[in-house]
Amino acid sequence: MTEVSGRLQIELRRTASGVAAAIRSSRPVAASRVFVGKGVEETASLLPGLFRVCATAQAAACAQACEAALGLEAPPLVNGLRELLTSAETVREHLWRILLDWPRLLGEDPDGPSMAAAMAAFSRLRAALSGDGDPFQPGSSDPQPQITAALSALRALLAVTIERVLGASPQGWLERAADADGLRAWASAADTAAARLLRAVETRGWAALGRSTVPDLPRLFTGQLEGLFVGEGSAALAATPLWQGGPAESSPFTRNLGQPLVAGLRRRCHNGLLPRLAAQLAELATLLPGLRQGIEGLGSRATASASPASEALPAGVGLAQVQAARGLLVHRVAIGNGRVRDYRILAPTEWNFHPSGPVASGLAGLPPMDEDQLLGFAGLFVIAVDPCVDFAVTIT
Amino acid sequence: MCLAVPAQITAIDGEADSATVALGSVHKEISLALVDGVEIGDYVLVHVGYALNRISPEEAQRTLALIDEAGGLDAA
Repeated sequence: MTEVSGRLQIELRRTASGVAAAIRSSRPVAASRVFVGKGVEETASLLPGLFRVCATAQAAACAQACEAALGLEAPPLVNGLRELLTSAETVREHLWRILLDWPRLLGEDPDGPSMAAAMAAFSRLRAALSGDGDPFQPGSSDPQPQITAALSALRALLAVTIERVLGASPQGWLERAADADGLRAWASAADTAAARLLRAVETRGWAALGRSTVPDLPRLFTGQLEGLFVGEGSAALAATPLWQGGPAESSPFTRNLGQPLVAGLRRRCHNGLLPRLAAQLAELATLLPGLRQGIEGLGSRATASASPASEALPAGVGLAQVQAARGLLVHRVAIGNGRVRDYRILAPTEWNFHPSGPVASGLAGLPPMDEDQLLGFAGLFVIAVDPCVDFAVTIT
Repeated sequence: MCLAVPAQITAIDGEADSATVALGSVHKEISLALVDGVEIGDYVLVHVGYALNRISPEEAQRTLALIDEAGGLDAA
């Protein structure tokens, strides 16, 4: 089943000057073609069931792309619910890495019980915010979110984060870890696997390793994205996307450069390992209070969410951009006579694990190190950039 | 994309909190750490070695049919 889901094969070769890295992907990037010929409602119902790992972000992108193609505008409450649930999914996915993978990289047991609690809380949150309806169905207009139940589920998600990750409230953590020194002080004092991992990264001298010159993917307007989908190189877009002829990065790290902690770490460590780990923690600590405010404010939501205007698109074509857990997710749909004529998806893993992207370039820039160190660092670096599929690192 | 694939549980190791699942002729060991109360014969969604949640046989068949319809999910 891993084979069906696709995987990343990351091959490292030690050279006289350091390391050469090659990334091969077997991800099914053309799977969205299965929706061609199907109706819009059927597509919106089936698509999250196929792309389960980030099903909420996928469902949001699908709904928004279909609405754009059909000339529909979702009500502010519907947009608000989609944004909240997509943010909650990002929290869940960050917790997956932090609770299951980070301990493993320290030689500790994955924290399955806490992750199971987080997943159950997310499911309850989704059910509560969806009410009896489906806010991800294009044209959805009358959702009835259950605010009290949603806040109860959110408290469970928050409890896992406080007890098992941050060792403090999100606000308290953000104040304490406001800069590199604060983060180091937190990592020295807190008794969680996340803190222990950050300590290990500093102790091993890995904080700034993995640097590359791959630029951040800028905010793209709809017309620019459409150019990617229909212009030169569009055939290779879904598997090996390029921006202005080169690779680019779209990840939790690039998304959180506005956070003082992440910006400060970038000045010290560029786009090496530590700023990436810190970005996931900082985003976790920021999203949770934001979710509470968002849920509490649902009843008074009066303005439409900022969604990209559908400029420069042919009739019947819709594009949507959603910030999924691992970076920018783009859907492009063409609809004619109520049926999907074309459906394409550009996912963040294809930017970040591009053969010349930030992971390949970051690993290729490593200094000489022994085989165990190299495998250990590469595994952690890949987890820190965060692919949405299984991967294997080998040294040849 | 980020697929989680339905698979049927064919054996459970309660001590190790793990199970063997089958997808066609492929068998694989997965962790049951994230799900409660699954039994042999149940369908679960599998992602990077973990069962994510139990799903109905109907939902499993629907998802598997969709994956088949995608034509074997071409590699990049």
